[in-house]
Amino acid sequence: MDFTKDKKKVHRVSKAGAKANKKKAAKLKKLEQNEALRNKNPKAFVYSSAHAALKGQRRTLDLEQKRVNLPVIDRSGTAIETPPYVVAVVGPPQVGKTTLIRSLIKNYTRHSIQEVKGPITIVAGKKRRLTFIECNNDLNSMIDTAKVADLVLLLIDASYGFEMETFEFLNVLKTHGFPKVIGILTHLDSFKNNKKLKKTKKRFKDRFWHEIYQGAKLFYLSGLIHGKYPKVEIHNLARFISVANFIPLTWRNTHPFVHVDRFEDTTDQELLRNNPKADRNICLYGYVRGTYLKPHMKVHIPGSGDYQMKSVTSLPDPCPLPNERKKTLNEKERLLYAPMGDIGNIQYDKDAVYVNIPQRNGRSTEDSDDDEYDSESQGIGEGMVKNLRDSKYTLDEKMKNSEITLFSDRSIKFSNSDELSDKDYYDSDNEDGTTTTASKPDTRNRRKVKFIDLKKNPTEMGSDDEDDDDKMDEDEEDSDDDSEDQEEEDELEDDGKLHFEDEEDDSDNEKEVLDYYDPDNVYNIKGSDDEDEDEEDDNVEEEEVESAKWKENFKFTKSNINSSVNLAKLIYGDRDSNKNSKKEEEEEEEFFKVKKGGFGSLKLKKDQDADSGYNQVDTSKYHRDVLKDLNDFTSPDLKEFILKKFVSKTDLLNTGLVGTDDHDNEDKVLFGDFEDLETGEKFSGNKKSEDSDEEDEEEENEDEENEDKEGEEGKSENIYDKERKKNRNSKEEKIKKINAKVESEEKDWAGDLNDQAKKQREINQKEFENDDAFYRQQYEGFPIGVYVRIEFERIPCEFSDYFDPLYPIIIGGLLSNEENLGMVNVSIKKHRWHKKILKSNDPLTMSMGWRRFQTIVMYSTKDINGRNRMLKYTPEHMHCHGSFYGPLTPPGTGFIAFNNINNNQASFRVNATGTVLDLDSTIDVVKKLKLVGQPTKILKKTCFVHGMFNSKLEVAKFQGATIRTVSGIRGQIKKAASHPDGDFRATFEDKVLASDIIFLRTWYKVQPIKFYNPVTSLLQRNKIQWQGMKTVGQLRYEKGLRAPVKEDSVYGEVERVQKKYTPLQIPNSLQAELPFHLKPKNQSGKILNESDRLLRNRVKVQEPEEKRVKDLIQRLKIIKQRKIEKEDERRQLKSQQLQEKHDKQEKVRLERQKEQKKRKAKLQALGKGKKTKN
Amino acid sequence: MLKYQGCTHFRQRIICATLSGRPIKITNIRDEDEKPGLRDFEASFLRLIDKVTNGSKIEINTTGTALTYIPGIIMGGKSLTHECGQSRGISYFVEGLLCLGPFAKAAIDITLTGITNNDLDLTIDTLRTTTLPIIRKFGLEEGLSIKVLKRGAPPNGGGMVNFKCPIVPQLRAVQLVDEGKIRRIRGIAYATRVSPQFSNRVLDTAKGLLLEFTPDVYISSDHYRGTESGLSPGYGLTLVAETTTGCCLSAECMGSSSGIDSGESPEDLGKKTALALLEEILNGGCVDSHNQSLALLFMVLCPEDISKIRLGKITEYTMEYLRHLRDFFGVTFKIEPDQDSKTVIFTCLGIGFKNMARSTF
Repeated sequence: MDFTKDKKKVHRVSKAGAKANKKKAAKLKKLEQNEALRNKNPKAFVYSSAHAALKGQRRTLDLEQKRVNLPVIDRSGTAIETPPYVVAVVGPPQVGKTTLIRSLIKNYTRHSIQEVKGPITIVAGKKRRLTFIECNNDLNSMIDTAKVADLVLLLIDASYGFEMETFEFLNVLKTHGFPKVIGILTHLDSFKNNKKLKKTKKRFKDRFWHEIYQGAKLFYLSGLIHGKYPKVEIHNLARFISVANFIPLTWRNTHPFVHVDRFEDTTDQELLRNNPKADRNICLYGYVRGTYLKPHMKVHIPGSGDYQMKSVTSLPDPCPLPNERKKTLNEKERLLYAPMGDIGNIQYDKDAVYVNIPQRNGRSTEDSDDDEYDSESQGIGEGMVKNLRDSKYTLDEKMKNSEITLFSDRSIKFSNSDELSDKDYYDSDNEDGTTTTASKPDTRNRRKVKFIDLKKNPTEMGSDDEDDDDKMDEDEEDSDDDSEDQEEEDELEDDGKLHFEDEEDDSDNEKEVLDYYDPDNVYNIKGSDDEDEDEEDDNVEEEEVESAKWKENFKFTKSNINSSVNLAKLIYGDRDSNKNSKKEEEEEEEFFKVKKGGFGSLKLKKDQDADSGYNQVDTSKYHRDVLKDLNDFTSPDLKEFILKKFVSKTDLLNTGLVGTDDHDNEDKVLFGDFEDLETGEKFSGNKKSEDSDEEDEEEENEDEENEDKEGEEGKSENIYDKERKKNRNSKEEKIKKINAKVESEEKDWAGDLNDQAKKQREINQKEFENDDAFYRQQYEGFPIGVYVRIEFERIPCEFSDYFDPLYPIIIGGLLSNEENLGMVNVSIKKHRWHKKILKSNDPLTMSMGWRRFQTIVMYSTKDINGRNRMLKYTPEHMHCHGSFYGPLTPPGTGFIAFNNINNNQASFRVNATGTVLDLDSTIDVVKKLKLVGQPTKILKKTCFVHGMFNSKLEVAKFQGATIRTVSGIRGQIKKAASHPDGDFRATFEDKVLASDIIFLRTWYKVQPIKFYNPVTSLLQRNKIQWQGMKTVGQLRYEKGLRAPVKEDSVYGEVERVQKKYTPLQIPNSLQAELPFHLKPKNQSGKILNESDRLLRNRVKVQEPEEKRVKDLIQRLKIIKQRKIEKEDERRQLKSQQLQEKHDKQEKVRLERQKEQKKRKAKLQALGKGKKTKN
Repeated sequence: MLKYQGCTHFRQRIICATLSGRPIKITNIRDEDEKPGLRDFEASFLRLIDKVTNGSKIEINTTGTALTYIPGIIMGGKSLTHECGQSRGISYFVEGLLCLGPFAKAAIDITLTGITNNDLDLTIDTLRTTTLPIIRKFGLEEGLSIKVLKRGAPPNGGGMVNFKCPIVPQLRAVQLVDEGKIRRIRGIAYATRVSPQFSNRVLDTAKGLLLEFTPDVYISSDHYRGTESGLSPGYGLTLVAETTTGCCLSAECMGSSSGIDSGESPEDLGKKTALALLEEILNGGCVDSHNQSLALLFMVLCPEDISKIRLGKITEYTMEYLRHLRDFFGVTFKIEPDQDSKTVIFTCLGIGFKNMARSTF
């Protein structure tokens, strides 16, 4: 730490005080001066030409465009309270992760924790809560951590250097949206040499910046003091964490998720005793993050699979932020919640609260060595808990006997019944939270406190009643089937009366309205189900109150709408509890009823459609029955009323909205102009034209003015000046126009999106603000920041048996369609650090969206003509397309692929990265296929081909296809030949040789292998060793096999048989006609006739003279021969000598050159070295 | 898998299933009918769905009373054609396509043949003049169009409609709360294979009635001749009331071909339609009673923002649609009545629906 000691203190510029003020004033003055100058001589500050202005504008626009980003809409803004930020501590083993967490927690809460098991949530500040998680060295954990972490503390062992895990983790982060990363260098105490330390730091920083971004924060932690990092450094780090702001990430912005911080197995013990391998019921707890968690949603638990949530209930926040606004947190508000590590004090359950009391801080302060707690202030809750513990009787006995009043303001009954409505928790949030959190820990023993509210939830009461009512109604219906029609009529009549009699009451008395809206005897809204009755009723109504005024009639509609609750109930209410099953049952009942009624006689189609509720005509058109059903609009009152709904005539006339001239347009185009009329209002059109007129006028005026001026000055000035002035004016105008245009566009761009988003956000925030929490949850699900308990049914027993708090559990919500599987087209690139290229149809383990899974990818590339050609291997440094069968994930989502996610690999484990391009059910990837055949019969340019196809049908399929010989002669398939099946006739552009091979080039569609295997690492005892499908290469390696060799692919000695050609024979008659030079000459050895043979076989005897001459000639020849040879030899020798001489020279030259080069390089190197040293 | 019974709300179920990606099973389809099972138009609708999707599986049992539908990915595409048959109008099919179109892989351009105007379904004119403006509010501005190439009245049809729908990555949440005041009334009185006098008579009556309320009434008479007029005679009237805030309310009536003989005069038809429009206006709301369900569906499919809409009288069809929306998408609407205007405000949080089929570059 002392390495900066020698350095002089750096000058610090004062930011406040007299000196700073002085400087500020000076700066301002300078600015003013500038401004003044600008006003004085504006010409000096403008562009000299329109062209330059345009250029300048273009530049600013370019810069602007670079700066502009599509605004990311942060959906967390609608949260009541933001959930704790997840701070993940990541790094290779032995780097100091646990120590860091311990130090940080000690810094925040004064708690000293021993081990870090599972997430630890703490209140870090007035407005900030943090959840610390430690990520172990397993790749699966790293992936899951990357998916939920808001802030990553990346620990690097400086004494060792960067490790593979760090880079693997960074790659995972990049694909799943890049959260904020703070690097931390540890083990810096191992550097004794200051200079080395400095160098190392710099080196690490450079690399870190390269990996993340320039200027990324990197912390240095020097050595340990009492097993913890130095207080000051940790304090600084904590400060950084508490001011960090987080950018919303796309995936998390659109998907709700829960990072589980508590796990509970709620399976029936008896069931487990009988069958230890039975499926479990489990409860997972955590804060809702991302977006609204909807209870009906399907969720994915990475490492386990897709599940349907059985129930979601909101619980009071176990680690709430302080209520009052104070400057600092007091000791009590520095809460800590870590149920998995058994560190926190309080755990909430659906029906119970657990108070966990550490032993060391006994109630009578037995061990006073603990400095973490000051037990001076004892809350009410604490006393309560103590009282509870001190009581002699067991809880059961007490409960049997009496009710205990614990709070003065509220009575709480302890009972064994475990039912408590959701709403109760939602509402009683504050009270419960405060009371229970206030209770101070006493002993380690855990004791269960069960309580239930005496007051039953009004909504629940209501719903119960409703159910009863419904049941009653159903019973009635069942019993009164026979007299149903009659009754219904009666009821309806009653309704009518009721409604007409007390119209005033209708609006006030909700109960009656409720009756009115009972789905069984709904009057107007219930449609074709009992249309006949409706009509009848209409008649009755008319008979009864023929003279009913429109007002009453109108009131009727009014009353219809009066009660929303009832309308909502009418739509949703009857199926609130169990929707589908119940509905079907009901329908089945109806089904039987209808059968009873219509037995024996087949009804007409129309009647039946109207009768049976589930086979109605399907039309969105709302059919008003007849004219009489409509209101009488001629009555003056109604007319007056309805006139209010129109724009008054005078207004219309004033604004010119009456579009008489529209008609012409419409006449021209018979249809299609309606939309235009609405969107392009005539009003605006007029305005526009006016505007343009004005502009024109202005321009004219300006022109006139100019002319005037010119007129005044024109006498004195010459024509050139005039011209120049004109030019200048026009230039200025141009510049002005450009500026105006740019500005307006800027405004548009900045305004539109952001304003819209802001407005919408306001609406979102306001909408359900005043609603009851119960309804609110129904409308929007569980908002962000709510602590929820999620119950799952039938989870594999391994999940619970092998549960380990060290491995993160995420519950990731799936949007509609995301639960399905299909073909996914991706753009994929081999990671540059992976040593091999990837092979098609090798299994890859991927992490995409929430999921981790293994699949088989087929690679392809897009040719210029749009064809997707299959690739056997990925390109080395390029993106290519990949297709696989997997979960449907929205296009644009990133993924990362591994070959092997086990920890037994020394090299870099990331294989490839990429993004989803496209989803489809089928894909169109083709592979080249060459069909080969031989010519059998060759007739001029036609040829019969054998061996390409097996049947006529196959030929027929390829009729007209182009074929080619190896030598390059192109042809076409004509028709299948009759005799050998599969042969065909083809024509070529030239005569084909019999020895040629003919081939047909086609494309064969290939489908990737449908293989999808979710990584179930959480269901294993050893979570690190998950074994998926192995690649063929791996299998071969394990079994010691080599790749099979195709016999055809082996190169061998080519044996070529010398072809024997029969000599050419020319018939004598032809020979006789040939010209001499073409006539076959009498070849040597050719025996023409008998006499020739005799002549040839004759022995020649030479004369002595002849012989002598011949000998002489022979000798002379030999002498000449020798002479020539000698000459040759001499010449060769000479040239050789010459060559040698030349070589020698060359060698010397080269050596010299080399020497020169060496010297030069040396000099250069020396020069550089000096520079670097400097 | 969601299970339903009967053929009622057949399209709703198929469409919701396709959009949400959840398979459905429908049983007891007209099981007590003289002719049990799916009808030709339903089969035709399924065929259309098959055309615009990829990978969807439709299984129908031998009697046609049970149907299993496993949805695939919506493809869309150009130069598609579909024969709609003579049982239902083209609108029956176009309404379905309107829901799927924005979320397809490629923009839909389809030509449908059949009946353009009938009494059972909305006419294609209403769809064009009222439904499209509503959908445009959800962010589908450009490329959405319906063109009537030929008009076809029941029973023989012979009409031809070209429907184009663009694709979007996401919809836009809407706040259709301000209904405004009626600014003007437009309409089309059409007649095919009958005397042009028919449409003129219809027009006169309707206009006469409506002029009492606003001076800006324009109804065009649209008479078809020759090949464009389809195969059967028919006439009718479609009216649209536009408000100052751009909401459209519509009413329509069709003089059935039998009606020409049955004594219902064109004047009656005109009066009926005008009154129906007034009734719509009286009911209020930013969307008329025919298009409620579509607007609600699109609200559900919005990004996770609040959408609000003011509706008049809720129809039975809409109610069932609301239930279906809850079954398929898990969305419950907040329903608030407005005592003053006798309307109901429906509010919901979108599900953050994205066009999954759309491919990025």
